[in-house]
Amino acid sequence: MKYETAISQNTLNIRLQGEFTFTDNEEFQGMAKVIEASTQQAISLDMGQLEFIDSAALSMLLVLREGCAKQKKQLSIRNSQGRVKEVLEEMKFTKFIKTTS
Amino acid sequence: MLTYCSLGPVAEEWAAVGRLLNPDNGKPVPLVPSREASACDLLLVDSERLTPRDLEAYRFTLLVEVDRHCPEVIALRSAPKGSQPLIGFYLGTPQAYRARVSPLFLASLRRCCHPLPEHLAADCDLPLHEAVVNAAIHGNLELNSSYSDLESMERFYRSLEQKLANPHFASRRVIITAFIDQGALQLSVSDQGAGHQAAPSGHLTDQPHGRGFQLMCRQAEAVRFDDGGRTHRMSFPLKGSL
Repeated sequence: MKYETAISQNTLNIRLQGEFTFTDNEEFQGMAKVIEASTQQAISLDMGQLEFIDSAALSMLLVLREGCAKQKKQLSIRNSQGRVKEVLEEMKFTKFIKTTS
Repeated sequence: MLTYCSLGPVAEEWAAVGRLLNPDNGKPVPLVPSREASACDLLLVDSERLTPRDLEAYRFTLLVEVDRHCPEVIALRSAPKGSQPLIGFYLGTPQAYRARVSPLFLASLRRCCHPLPEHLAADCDLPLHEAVVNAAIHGNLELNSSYSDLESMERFYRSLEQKLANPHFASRRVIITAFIDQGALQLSVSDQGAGHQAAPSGHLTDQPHGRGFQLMCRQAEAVRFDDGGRTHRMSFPLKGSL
């Protein structure tokens, strides 16, 4: 999994690319530290270029949510596609993290 | 007698694998080099060569990843009576964890053995991936991935790397097999860990773990655990898919 960051107004936008799986813990921890250090209150994960996601990645997203909540930052997911979107919907992830199209 | 091809730098060493192979009846199986350059019963693969491009040229029934540092006894498992055996992968735990094996296995299945429709292979990818990672992490490495925050997650992954570096755990195999039985594609993933008896939960929770089983069940007609929890079997209907 790779990620790119961009800032627009008060939002830190993070675009995820490739496959997000169990073995992406180092990339994820790097991303979490970027979020922790950012001054933006809104964090938006763009999943438009994410092709695959597994249960470990879902767990990492929930850990991210917890970290954002501690800093009173608003985490959201947007633009998920194809099978990634199917997985997020089946796992009812909108209950845990705000999701927009 | 089984024929073999090898994909790696030292073909002669892999012949020693034949002395270690034994089917369920316990008798060693003689292993001979295949006379066809790219067709064999066993494809023996060096850990460094498990990539889609390397596998594309071969037709095989069983792929065995061979790690010269961790030789071990490998048991051949036959498909149930009356079913049509297709293909199998025997992998070391580090490769099973790191290599994103599921699409490799399904691509080999489609190429070598069965005209599995692309949409069905795509449906099988995530459940098979979850089963393989589950076998590697929870089965062979005997790790519990219940973490609630970044700090506990970092501790978990440090433990994971320590176990992957320990030959006692790392040399355990993840065994993936596929066969056709009763009009369905049967995928089986086995580990060599201690097994478990706990019944996975079907409820979605707010805990950062435990979704693996729900994802294993996606698209599968039937899912069950055998062999004390070490073997995970998933059934995907083929009716209307061919």
